[in-house]
Amino acid sequence: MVVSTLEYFYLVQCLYNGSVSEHLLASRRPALTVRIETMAHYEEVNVRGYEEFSHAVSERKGKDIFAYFSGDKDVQGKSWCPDCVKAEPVVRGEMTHLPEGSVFIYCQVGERAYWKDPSNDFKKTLKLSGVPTLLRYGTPQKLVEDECLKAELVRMMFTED
Amino acid sequence: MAALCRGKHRWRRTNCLYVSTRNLTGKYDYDLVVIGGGSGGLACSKEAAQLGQKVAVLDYVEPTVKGTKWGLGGTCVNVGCIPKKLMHQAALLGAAVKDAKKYGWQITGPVCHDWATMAEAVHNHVRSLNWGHRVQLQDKKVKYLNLKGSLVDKHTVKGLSKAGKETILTAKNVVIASGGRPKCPTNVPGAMEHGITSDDIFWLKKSPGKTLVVGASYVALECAGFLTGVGMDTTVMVRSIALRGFDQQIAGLVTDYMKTYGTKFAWKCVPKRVDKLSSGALQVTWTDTQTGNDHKDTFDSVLWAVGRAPETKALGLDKLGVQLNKETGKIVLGADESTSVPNIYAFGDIGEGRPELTPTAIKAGKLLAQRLAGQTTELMNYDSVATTVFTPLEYGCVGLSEEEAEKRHGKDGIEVYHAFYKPLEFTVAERDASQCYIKVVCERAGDQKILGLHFTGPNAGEVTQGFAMGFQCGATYSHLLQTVGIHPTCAEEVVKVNITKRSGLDATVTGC
Repeated sequence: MVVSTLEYFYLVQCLYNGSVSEHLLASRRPALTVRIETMAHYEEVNVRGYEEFSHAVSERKGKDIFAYFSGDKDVQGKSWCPDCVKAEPVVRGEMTHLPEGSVFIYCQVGERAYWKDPSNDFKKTLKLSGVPTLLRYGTPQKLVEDECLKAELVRMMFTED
Repeated sequence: MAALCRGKHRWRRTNCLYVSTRNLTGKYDYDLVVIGGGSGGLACSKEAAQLGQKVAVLDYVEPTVKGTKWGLGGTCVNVGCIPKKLMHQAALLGAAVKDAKKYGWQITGPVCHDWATMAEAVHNHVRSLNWGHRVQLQDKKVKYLNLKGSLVDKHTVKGLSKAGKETILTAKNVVIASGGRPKCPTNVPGAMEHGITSDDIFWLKKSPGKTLVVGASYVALECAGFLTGVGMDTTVMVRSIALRGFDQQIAGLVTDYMKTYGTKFAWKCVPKRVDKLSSGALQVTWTDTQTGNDHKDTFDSVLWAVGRAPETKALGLDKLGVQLNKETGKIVLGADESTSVPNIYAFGDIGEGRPELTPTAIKAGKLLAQRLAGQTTELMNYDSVATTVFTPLEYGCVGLSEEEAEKRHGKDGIEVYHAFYKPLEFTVAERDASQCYIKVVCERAGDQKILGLHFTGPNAGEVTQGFAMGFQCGATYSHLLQTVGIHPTCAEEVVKVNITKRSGLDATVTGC
């Protein structure tokens, strides 16, 4: 039974974080508000275009980076790539299985015309063959197009070495 | 609860895992458990799953003495066909660069090879294949377990993880497709500690340097071939003959070509000991069996290619009474891949008398899966399987060697058509073509059915594949005569072959 605001704070933090920050335990200061920390055990990064993608990767050297490439979304938030629209909820649904401390980069590649050009940076440098593509950066692990629609494959990529 | 179960019901206690071996209806965990995730195991398990069976495949790689290990896919993908062909290609490209100058390409300065660059590219491709297989298994609903499988009883398989944890699976049928591993001589001091095998060569991050390849099988010759081709000082040490089991005249042409192109051969020699020097180099002492004298030389690497054997002991087969061939350790099989124990099957490299080839393992695995699912009664046909040895001068063949045909039909019962030809591409490049050769061994009587076809030359595998289909259809020499050649190719010389060995005439092809 929760008897004080302080205990309630710790309880909420425990439930959502899996632990209680040592600093707070040590200080034992009563909190005035309930702070709910995020559940994520991975870092999510949103980028647009090849340059932003490369920059995001170079800033996170040594980390386990998963990248999801999708066609650009319009103002309504819908991508020109129909498979990307279908795959995104499947991929997002498995993100709880991402390894601890990993990075998930959501990358919009560009407009349809840019993507169709075979000399675009994603095709040339990253060797992407289609969107959506879900890959584990620096490894041969990747799922392309309709493979991204299969939840078990996405989960397998996130959970296996 | 135990009282409610019919039949034998046991609770097995394993490290941290209680698993019931039979559920209430008496069914097994799986319809099929396959031990081995190589060419054969993967094909069999995927086919079985597609036919609606509940399948699990166990794949595990025991690291080599040097610590080399690899992912899913077996020997072919990781330490066989695939890396071999890629490194062979690297060597061929080196030769092509030399030829290029004669064709007008301005290449300034010497062209050197960087092992690390090649190795990284090959490893990346192999890893993409490991991943591809993993995705396929998952997609086809095959349960994949990275565990070392062994048999507890004819319906129970034990899987051991790297950490020593045990998992027990029960299965209606068990298939063993765990293949083989390279042998290492046990009677040569220092062999195991200081030498490497084909399991290691493809994963070396640094160049193997001056190498001694012991053995004269296709593994030995193919490895020695590409090592020479990328610039290593390479010696092949042969105990007796090269390419045992293959046509010996052709084996001679293959080794002659290798000698011309820089591979050294130590014929009729056997290694005695391998010592590591303070410099880190390996000193090998060997005996020349013809003179009885001992010799010494230093090498950076010693590659043992003296045969392959299955790890049948670790499988626990002796406990179950699965009949093995005492000499080879391989499993004795029926024509339907059955072993001496009902519901335990085996195929691929581990089968006694079976060709150690990926395509036969794949086909046999698929047919076995179909038979186990009751879809067919068709048996695997192991006859007339075409193969190619990817030595610097490639050798493709289908059917019998000349000596085997002679044994079966008598020298008078066969007609051997042959030809020495020169690939057009060799002319401008001023390359020696004295070992480019074609031999078609036929029955002497009637339509002269083709008993064996042999081809040495560039792209031998590509050339032979088409003729293998003709062979499968029972092609005769008269069919060959009726076939018009494609010009200009090396393959056309096969359909034009007309000089017999019997005639004693010069078999060198002269121009168009």
